[in-house]
Amino acid sequence: MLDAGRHPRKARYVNEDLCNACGDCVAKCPTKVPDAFNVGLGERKAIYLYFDQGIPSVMTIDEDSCRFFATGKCKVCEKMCKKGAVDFEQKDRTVTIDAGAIVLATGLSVMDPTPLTQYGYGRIPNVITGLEYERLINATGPTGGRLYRPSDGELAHRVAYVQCAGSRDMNHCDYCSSVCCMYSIKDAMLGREHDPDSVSHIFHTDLRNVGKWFQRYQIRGEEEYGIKFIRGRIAEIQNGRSDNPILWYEDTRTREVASLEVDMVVLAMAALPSPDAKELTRILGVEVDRYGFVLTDDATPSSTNVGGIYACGFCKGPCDIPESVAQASAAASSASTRVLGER
Amino acid sequence: MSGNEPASSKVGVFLCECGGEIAGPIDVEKLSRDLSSGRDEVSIHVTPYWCSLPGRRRLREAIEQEGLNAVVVAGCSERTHGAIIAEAAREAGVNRNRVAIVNLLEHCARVHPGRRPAATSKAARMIRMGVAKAGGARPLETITEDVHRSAVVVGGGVAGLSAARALAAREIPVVLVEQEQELGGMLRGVYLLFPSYGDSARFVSEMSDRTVTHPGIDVRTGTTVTAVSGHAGAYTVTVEAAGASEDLSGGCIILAAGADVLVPEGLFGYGVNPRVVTQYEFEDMLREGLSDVRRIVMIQCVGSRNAERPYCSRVCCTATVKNTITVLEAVAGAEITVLTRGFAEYVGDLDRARESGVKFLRYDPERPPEVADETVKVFDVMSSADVAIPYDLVVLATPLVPRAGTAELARTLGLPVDDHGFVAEPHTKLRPSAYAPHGVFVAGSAHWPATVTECQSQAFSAASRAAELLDRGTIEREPMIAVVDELTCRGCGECVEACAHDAPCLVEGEDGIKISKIDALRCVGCGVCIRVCPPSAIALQHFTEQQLLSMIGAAAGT
Repeated sequence: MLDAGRHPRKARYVNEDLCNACGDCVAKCPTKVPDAFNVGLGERKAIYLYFDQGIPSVMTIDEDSCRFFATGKCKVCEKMCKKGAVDFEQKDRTVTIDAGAIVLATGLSVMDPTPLTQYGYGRIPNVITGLEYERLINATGPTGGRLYRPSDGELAHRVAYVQCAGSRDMNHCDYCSSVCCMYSIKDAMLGREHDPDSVSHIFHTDLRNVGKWFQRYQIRGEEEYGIKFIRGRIAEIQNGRSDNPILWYEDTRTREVASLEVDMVVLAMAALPSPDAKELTRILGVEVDRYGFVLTDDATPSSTNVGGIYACGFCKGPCDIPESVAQASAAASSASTRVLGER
Repeated sequence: MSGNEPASSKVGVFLCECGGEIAGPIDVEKLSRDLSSGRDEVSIHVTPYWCSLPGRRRLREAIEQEGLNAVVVAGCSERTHGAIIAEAAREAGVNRNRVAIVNLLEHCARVHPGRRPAATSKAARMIRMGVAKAGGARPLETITEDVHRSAVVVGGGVAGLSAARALAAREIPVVLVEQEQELGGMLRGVYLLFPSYGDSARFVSEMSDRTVTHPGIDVRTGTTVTAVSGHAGAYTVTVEAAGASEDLSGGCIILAAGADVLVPEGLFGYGVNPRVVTQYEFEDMLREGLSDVRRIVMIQCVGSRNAERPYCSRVCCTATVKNTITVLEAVAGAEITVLTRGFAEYVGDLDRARESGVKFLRYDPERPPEVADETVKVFDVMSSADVAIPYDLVVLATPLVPRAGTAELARTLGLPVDDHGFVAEPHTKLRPSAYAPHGVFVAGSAHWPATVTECQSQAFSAASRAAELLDRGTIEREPMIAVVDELTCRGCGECVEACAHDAPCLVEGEDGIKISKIDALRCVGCGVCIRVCPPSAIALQHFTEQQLLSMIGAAAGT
């Protein structure tokens, strides 16, 4: 048996067994804050559901913005709740779980774009990240799927996608983040579906369409959605007139330096191990590579250096959904074999 | 109640906004008004997502409160969400067969953008058809059958061996069938593994030994699969070895038949110029030790990413880089140039190779390299210059291609293959490890080119899912199948010919008359057999002619 140790569990100030996520509390809560799920592009209340299809489907009170925690007065949500689920007395608690095996599936985080000063994120208003684009283009997102520019709220028709933003870059992450080429193609296709006037340019290093049917998807993007692929890294993005970003690059096929004015730029940011993985792997004694991804070996792809601890998905290194799912089942298989006792 | 129509139908219509995906192109408010006015005796409910937890809870509550006995969910596709919606309805007491899913998202909202009034009117008709279908359906019992707790693994490469061992570790009896005389598959021809640079031969022999000596694994080498019959939970796999035929039984089948390396006859002088080999053949040369070879030119994407094979073979870049490093460590003064079309090496040692002096040039597929007697001539895209590189050896990275026989084997198993010839899954993103026949799982390069590590992950994944099925003891499936009216059937066998899933077969009754019998677990309920049956003896029990007629009536607004 592994010493699973202690596991801190944050108070959500809502009784999970009673809350039915009806939303009466949200409707009356007086405090609005930027919505983290919508990467700050929309607003949510201090009591909120992380997102519509989130699991568990239970409200949470954000202690940092809740009026009651700040002033000692309010508790409107408690009054509104017919189920009596709001519980301001809830405390953070430490839960101890005994387990025969542990599976690490801590996923990824996305690199902060500000150190890539040449791309002007934060300085040029219409330069956004891939994740921000995902929320904008999503029909349930803060703009209902319309690509409004942060600078003036106008629709962005001409969009440039910058691949390898921080990845395959010896100054930041010198590995390939693996998923960006394909999600950028998908994003550009969605853009065209939502806006027939949309024109997309994807600036790439190598187009890594190594997965099943990926090449065909790229060809479809090119032929049916008119996506233009340009091989070349962006040297610099400038803010042009009307806050239109201007990208300067060398097209490595023609060896010409050129520029392109667009309405919006989407940065495909490098993917990193999740920020908590470092501390977690340290506590568990699990070996990681120089980037912080969990090391596993050739012969047993889910096993870490610690017996009984397995890993799957992005915490082992960049991978897409099918690979993550296969690795997850593999880790479950190895973990259950250990728990049952290998025969 | 089973077998009879409920006295009166109380149909609930659950309109899904799918966030704004449906509520944008379709006027859901008007739709709901249209449906609740006039002749439609239905109750209408609207929510952003019926598939979400709160959505499904509301669905159950509505069924219970209003005493509904039929449900129409108008949202997305049956294929992606049918099961969870039906499960929620079942929990509230509505039979699976009286749940209709109307695909407003794909069949209406997405195909008619910008035509809101027309799309809304079409949506109303689609929903009325759904109401006719669900309301006219009779409740059906779930089909349950026993599961034979054993597995047949087809293929003895790294994927097959890993799957067999993972199953055996759970005390599931395994028969492993390999057509070659030796286990190990493609890895037997590989010199070093990546990323460990460990000896592949040793890895394979250790793995094979552990498999052969495992008491729970029956290894059959030199054996080929000739036929498969049965269904999930009870398959019969007919194999042939040394001219003798044998039937193996298994509750599930894991297909790990691997792939072949393309032999590039006629490309870049291969087959004519003795100094041109494939990257896979080069592995053997590395094992033997290179002699008189110092200057090597490697060409990537030979026979792949072209019109004939429009796919990237995934593993070649990693293998090439691994081999450049192996050469540099073995041969003093080696000069290696790799000609690429862009490097798709998503894992590997590219930077290490570059730092060790390997040159990487980029070629344009429109102007491919030319292998002359002494040099390889290529237009280097990056420097816009024609270059001639002297060589002792040219190594061609050719793609993995589906193995001859995989398509036929897949067909026997009821597995579709894609147009490249690799085994296809129903949904690469949503259900990457699930396949159309419930008892068949696929691992390794039969599915798509995969590295050793990926083969193992997929094998463990397949074993894990197979064990989930086998340990359940029984298998259940929804009764959405075709049934034969024995009195009308004349035993002509047209249905047997027509079925792509080998579900019907002719059996002799007590009176000596042949009639068709449909294997409930193989049948997918497609209805192809109905079309070919001369006396119309076959019907889909979940979708009768009356239902179809009333749906047409509903669509026409009569």
